[in-house]
Amino acid sequence: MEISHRPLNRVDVVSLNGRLDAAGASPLKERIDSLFAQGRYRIVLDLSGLEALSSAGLRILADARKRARDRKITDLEGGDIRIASPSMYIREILDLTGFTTMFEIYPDTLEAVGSF
Amino acid sequence: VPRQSLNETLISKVPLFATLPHDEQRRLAETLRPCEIPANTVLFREGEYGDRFYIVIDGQIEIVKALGTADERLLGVRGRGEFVGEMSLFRGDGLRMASVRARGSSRLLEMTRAEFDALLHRQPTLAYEMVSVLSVRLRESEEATIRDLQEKNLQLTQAYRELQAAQAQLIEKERMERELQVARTIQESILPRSLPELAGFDFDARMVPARIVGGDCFDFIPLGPDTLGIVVGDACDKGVPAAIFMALTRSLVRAEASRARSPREALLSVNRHLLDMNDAGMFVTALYGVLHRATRTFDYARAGHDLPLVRGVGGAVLAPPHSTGQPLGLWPEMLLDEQRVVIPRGGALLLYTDGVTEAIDPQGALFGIKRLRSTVSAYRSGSAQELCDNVLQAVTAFSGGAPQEDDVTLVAVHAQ
Repeated sequence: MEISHRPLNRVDVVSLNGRLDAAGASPLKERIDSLFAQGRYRIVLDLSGLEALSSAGLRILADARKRARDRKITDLEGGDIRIASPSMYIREILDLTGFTTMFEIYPDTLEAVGSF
Repeated sequence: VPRQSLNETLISKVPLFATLPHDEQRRLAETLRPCEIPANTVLFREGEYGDRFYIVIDGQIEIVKALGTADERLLGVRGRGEFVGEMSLFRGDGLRMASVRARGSSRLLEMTRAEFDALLHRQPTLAYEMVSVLSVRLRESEEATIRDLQEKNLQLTQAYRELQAAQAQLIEKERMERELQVARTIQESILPRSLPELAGFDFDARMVPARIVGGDCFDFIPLGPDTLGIVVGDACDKGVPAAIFMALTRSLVRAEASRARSPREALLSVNRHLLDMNDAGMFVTALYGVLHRATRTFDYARAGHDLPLVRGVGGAVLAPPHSTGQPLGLWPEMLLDEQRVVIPRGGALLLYTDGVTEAIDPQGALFGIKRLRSTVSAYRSGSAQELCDNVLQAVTAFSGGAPQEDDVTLVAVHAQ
């Protein structure tokens, strides 16, 4: 899996390309850990290039979401992981696994970034 | 210019001969033979009998021990005005102590043993000078040998340490492999040893782990004479952590299934227990349902797991409607997808994990739900065993030797 990262002013956009499975999970976790370590807790995951999402990948998403939301940036704003532009297939997986109700999902990156 | 005078000029410039009287220099100029040596010529070899020595006029001459072997070692390089090959003339056995090779094309003066002996008789003081050079060279050679030995010793010590480390790693790896084999045996032993019996149905189940131990599981839980609990689950990781978490989940489901009034109630209890014990952020997707013999209904609760497939007699494959069902172990207020399906007579129910739909071919394409559905549809209403066989064969053929990324689990129920 390829991971690219675009830092914006208040938000980081992390784009995933390929398969987020057991092999792809560790590099994504490392990338998210390093953002958290820099105090960056508002992350948009751009899933437009994601081809597959396995349970190992879902685990990273669930864990990252929890840690981001546990982080309180101000009284009004907390950290969060938000999802942008998943394909129909990925959307179906998120749906079947019940992740759609746990994540804010946006049709495109711009909207996801704007939601913070 | 006559040859003698040229040789004489050369000889007067050789430090060893520089202090000799003129008539002796002239005499040497007449007797010594100049020779041209092409590059890389071996002048003589270690261990040969030496009957002459050489004075370097031009070029560079290498003194080499163990020439042409793995232990080849350069002792020194002699240049203009220096001499080579003198040692064997002083040695009792007269044997060469090292080989000598021209680095580039070189010009030398050659002197035989007889000429050398005669010269020493005429000019005994020359012997002192040669001996002083000789002693320096012997010391250099000795020091080089000691350095060489020290270096070799260091390499040996290093190699020995590496060998020890490698051996320790090997032992550790073997230990881990033994432990993994034990883990696998335990995992296999907690899976049902035999298929359940329920009048009017036949069953089959398969689990093919991607590694030695897997994060998938299935179970058949007898609940009463006419009801059977069936569960399939997938822990969100691979290997030992997933296997431990899965074993825990499976035990909890088994315990809760017999006292809960519904699959939903059972999974909600399991979720509460898992949340108490889950610091690693693991979760499990699971589908647990109860099969009723008389009505051929399967009432299930789905916790983020793949949808079951129901095959009708004509080959139509139906995926039941679904609402939101979330994985176990993540959230206290979890949502479960509760559904009821009816398995028609002659039809079948297939439960599976995402190792089936996410199997990849060598080009990286996914097996996918469509292929799974057409495989289930094409299956000719045989036994549950035939359904499992067909799906596994289809996945194996599709993968075409690509490494298996995820555990593959199938549970099939066939209504006779």
